[in-house]
Amino acid sequence: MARRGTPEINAGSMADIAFLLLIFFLVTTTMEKESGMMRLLPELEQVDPEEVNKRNVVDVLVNDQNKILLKGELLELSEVKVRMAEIILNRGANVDWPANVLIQREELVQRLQDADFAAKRADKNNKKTTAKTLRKATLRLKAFDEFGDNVYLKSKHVVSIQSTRGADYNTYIELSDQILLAYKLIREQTGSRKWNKPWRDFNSEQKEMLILMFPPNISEAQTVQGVE
Amino acid sequence: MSKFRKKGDKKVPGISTASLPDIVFILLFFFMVATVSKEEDLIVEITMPNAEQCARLDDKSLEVYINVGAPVRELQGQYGAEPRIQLNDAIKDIDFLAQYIEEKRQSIKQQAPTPESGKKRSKKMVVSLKVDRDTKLGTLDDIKQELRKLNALKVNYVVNDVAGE
Repeated sequence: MARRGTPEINAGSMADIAFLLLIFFLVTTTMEKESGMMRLLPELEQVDPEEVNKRNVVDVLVNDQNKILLKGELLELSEVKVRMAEIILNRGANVDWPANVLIQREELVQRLQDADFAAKRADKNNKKTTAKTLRKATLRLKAFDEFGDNVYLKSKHVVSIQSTRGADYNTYIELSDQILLAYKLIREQTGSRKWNKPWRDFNSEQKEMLILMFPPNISEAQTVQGVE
Repeated sequence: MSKFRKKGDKKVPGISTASLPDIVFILLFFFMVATVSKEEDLIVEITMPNAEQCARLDDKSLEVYINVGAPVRELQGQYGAEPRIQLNDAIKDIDFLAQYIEEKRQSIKQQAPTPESGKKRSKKMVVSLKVDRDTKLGTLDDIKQELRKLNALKVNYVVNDVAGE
């Protein structure tokens, strides 16, 4: 071969350039880390909120001075968690605190069968939801068998956070946080008593069971005018 | 002549690195496209409250944002220093909320392949409230009341995650 091709341009550095760009984008695009608290607002049509026994309503009031009143008791923010956990659990069977109802095993079995039936007949549209329901039903029964009916009770409580119009949003969120932490405290204590280890050592199934046993029930109530 | 050549007969040709830039470029484009930093320019000042018990939303495309806070200094002459509502890129009155939510609901609906699934999808809409910590609850309550009227019941209070600190 007599002809000699022009020497190729070395494309090796192209990769370096591209890498530089890649790294630049990787570093600069900070994925917005956003978390929040989900709530479901009550429907508007619901003129008459379902009849709840007064003892089952755990009302938390916040006023313009950001003072907190929990079931008629003036508390500091830091005290809310423990007190709330006591009230929700109500192990002393206080008649002014939310009632606990015994859970029948048959009921859980029945629900599991229903969920199983639904899951088997599910088409691709509701496959996910039915599978989820089935899993929950299975875990509830498992939790019942594990903990027994004196630990796994159905609490009829409703936490109702109410505030005056002048209260701070910050207090409201901190208070909501404390209330959710109360549930966490209950779950941790119940689990630790059972399995003799801290929450972080529970496996995901155990955690899920505990969350199902103590589900939060917080109602978004309307602001009240002029509560002192 | 055997079928198999002896080793060392011929040098192994070097692997061409010419395609490496292509691979890296694909990665680069992927990152450029995938990281949609959905940042509206905030014209209200928001310091979010801290909380431990919070979770991230699974699907960002279902989120609708409402920002509440005091306008930035440059706009205070126009809008005052009291907390106001920012929708899209402007400060609006609460009366505009209905229109805004409806618009967003429609666009969420249209992202679904069929009309039925669109309806289902629009029911999953979540209203994310980014509210400044010093806002009075009265302001928030007006918004919540409006949202109830619009049947947008799923709300999400955006907070700073301080768990594990």
